[in-house]
Amino acid sequence: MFKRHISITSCLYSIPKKNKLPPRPKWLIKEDEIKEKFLKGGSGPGGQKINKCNSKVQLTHIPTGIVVTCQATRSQQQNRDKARELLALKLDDLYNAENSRNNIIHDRQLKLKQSKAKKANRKYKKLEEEKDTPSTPEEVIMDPDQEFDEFIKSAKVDV
Amino acid sequence: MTRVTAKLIRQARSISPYLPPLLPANRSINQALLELKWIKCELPKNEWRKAVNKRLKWVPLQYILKTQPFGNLNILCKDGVLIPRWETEEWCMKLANLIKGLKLEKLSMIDACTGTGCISLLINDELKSTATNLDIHGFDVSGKAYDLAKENNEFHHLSVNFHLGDVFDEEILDKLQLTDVNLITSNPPYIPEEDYNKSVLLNGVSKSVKLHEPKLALVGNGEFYYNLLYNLVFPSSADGFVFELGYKEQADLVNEVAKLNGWRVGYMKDSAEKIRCVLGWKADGKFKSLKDLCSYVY
Ligand SMILES: C[S@@+](CC[C@H](N)C(=O)[O-])C[C@H]1O[C@@H](n2cnc3c(N)ncnc32)[C@H](O)[C@@H]1O
Repeated sequence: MFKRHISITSCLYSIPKKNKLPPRPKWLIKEDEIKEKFLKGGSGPGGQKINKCNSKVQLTHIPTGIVVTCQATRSQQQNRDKARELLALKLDDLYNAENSRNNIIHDRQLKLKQSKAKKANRKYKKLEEEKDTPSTPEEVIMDPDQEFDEFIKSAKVDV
Repeated sequence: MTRVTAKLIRQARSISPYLPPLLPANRSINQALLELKWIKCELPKNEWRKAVNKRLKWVPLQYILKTQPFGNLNILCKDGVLIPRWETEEWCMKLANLIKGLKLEKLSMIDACTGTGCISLLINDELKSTATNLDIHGFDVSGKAYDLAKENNEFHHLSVNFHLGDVFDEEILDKLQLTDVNLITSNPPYIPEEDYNKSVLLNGVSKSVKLHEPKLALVGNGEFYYNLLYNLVFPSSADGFVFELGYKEQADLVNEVAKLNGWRVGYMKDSAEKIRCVLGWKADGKFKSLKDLCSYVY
């Protein structure tokens, strides 16, 4: 019993708290080093003749040639901001490798998964022991962004 | 463009039952997914089914979600009033930045054919925290547009004055009691009737626009620019104007008429490289830097 307790705490200890993650590396963005383009898709007539609702923003980081795009929201202003965040993360990956925000988040997710798996194992064992307790299925609530990413991953279509 | 095939529909259904009705208006699974994401984010679950079915009938997404982002504003949209376009948002932001740089003591502006009010509201919003005194007006001939523009003004806590009015009315300026004006903007209907009836592939109008947006907001040509100049620009004290357009001939017409009255004229392209606005300024006036927004000066 005692042993098990220790293993839980030591394992949790190495997982950084969500609010202790490195900050978004926005300072890596220098406006004079990027080229911004608004991609409206297609070569139609535009103006009053069409009512598009997407507004894709593309940023090219001139010194490294890294290109990112964002069309996550319907607002061009917000897509511009998000594209800059994305680019900053990529630059962070490039410059900081090991200690980049992306890497630390990735690491954290892995560790969380492992610790969940361990817990699940224990839970399973416990359930085995006291078989008569009925289990209620947990409802998974995803935030829309995550859900969208899941869709895309499972879509597996080339369009 | 991907064709909407049975295979594509099956693929869509395997992802989500809400997806197939979004295919005709979107043409690809990824675009449809993006729209579905927005529908799910912005509407309660019990409206998703109705929303995707409306989209199947080519109702513009902005009428379904009831808004269109425009700069930092979220413009309310309603059936019967034209949805603001990204091209308009683009030149409007450029104009707002130019005006900020002028550090005017006072900006008196009229936006003719104002629709949702988006142009005047964005200028108001972008300049409200500067030292410039603002007196901004917008008018439209459509009652639905007038009501919606006022609603947008309240919704965003801005201070544009909206009126009912007709560009073709020679006394419009007196009726609005506005003579002390320095800037006139407008995005008038600019699609010639013959193009309105063509398919979008032949430089015509897209299906969703033709079926659901008001013809009153779309069909027009030289007569609008002519009347904007004679009924608003020339009789007022304006020393700058910006009119959206869709054809080089319309810019040429504005140049012909305005240069005879002592104006300098140029046009501006949008980021899709299409001719988009005609701009006018007085050689020694407050708005002579409108020239810097031009891709061509006559
Ligand atoms: C292309 S829409 C532009 C709406 C808005 N300014 C925008 O950029 O989204 C043209 C507007 O002109 C209005 N309109 C049409 N004829 C008019 C007239 N004779 N006088 C004033 N407004 C008119 C329509 O009701 C419509 O709202």
